[in-house]
Amino acid sequence: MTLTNDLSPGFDEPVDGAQRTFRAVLEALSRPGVPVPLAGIDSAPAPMKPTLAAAALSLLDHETSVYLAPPLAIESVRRYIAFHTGAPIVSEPGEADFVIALADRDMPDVLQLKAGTAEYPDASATLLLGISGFGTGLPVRLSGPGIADTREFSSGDLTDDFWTHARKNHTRFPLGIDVILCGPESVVGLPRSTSIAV
Amino acid sequence: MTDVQLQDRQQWMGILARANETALAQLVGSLGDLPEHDLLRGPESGLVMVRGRAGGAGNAFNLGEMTVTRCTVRTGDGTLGHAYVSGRRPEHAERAALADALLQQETHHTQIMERVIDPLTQQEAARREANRAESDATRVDFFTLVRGEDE
Repeated sequence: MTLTNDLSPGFDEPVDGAQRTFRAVLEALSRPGVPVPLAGIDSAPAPMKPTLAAAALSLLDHETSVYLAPPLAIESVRRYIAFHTGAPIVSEPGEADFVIALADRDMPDVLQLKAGTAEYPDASATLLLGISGFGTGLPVRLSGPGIADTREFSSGDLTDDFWTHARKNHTRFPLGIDVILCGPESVVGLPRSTSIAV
Repeated sequence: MTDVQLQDRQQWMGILARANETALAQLVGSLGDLPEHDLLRGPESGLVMVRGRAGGAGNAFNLGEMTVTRCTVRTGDGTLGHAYVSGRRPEHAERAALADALLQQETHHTQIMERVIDPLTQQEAARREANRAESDATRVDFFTLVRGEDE
């Protein structure tokens, strides 16, 4: 009756790891467009990326529903998220508090995600998006809270479509979603308050 | 996992969780070398809300919180063992989780069953029996005689 499993460990130091990650994500959202170093979880099941896994494990709990965008919606990743966070996994992106996508192309339509309500703008979704790196591709100009003047940001992974959606997202402020871009060794925050000019 | 396997597993996980910590340590220690295992989670302590159907209508009732230690281990072949034990007892939780993992493996099942679970089951039965004998000594049976006016 042996059960074969492919569950892997989470943070080496659960409390320390979660706190460090939370601090990095907080820092990233406070200074949009600035990459903040973050140590990921290398043992996370493929195709989950290390920093994406770290962000997921520190932000999710049993009260936050999560949507895994294909190709992440596989049994090993579901089990991993369910075991380490206890978060309920939903099949509709529009119902989720957190949406995890490996790359730009897997992402569900940003405007379909929970944007909050006028009374409760905080009841909105957060998108954790995997990315292969920063500093390549055409730069966009960011401005808004956390940015003194303007700041240039670029990532070759992000398509024009992404930026179009991100701009639409900003126009709904204070409603809208917050985006956390998870690179190989760092995270970048793009909160709904950031204005984007191409 | 079939229903029977599930029930068997619930049975042994319960025995391991309720076992006397020292007895469990001795029995597991007497097995000799056990396979290597990684800690997937814990052992970590926390609080759980104990709920019971204590209301008159059978509704769930929050009885109170209790301290629980949980642990999940993975043995070399990838088998997972879980344990939840009462109180702050990290070593107990880890041993119980390891025993749970090994009990799921055919190579170890019989050995652990005979040398750990069976003795613990007997100890638990003896403990219950002693408890009952002690309370039996002061038991008062209430009964009502048929009252005349009902006839």
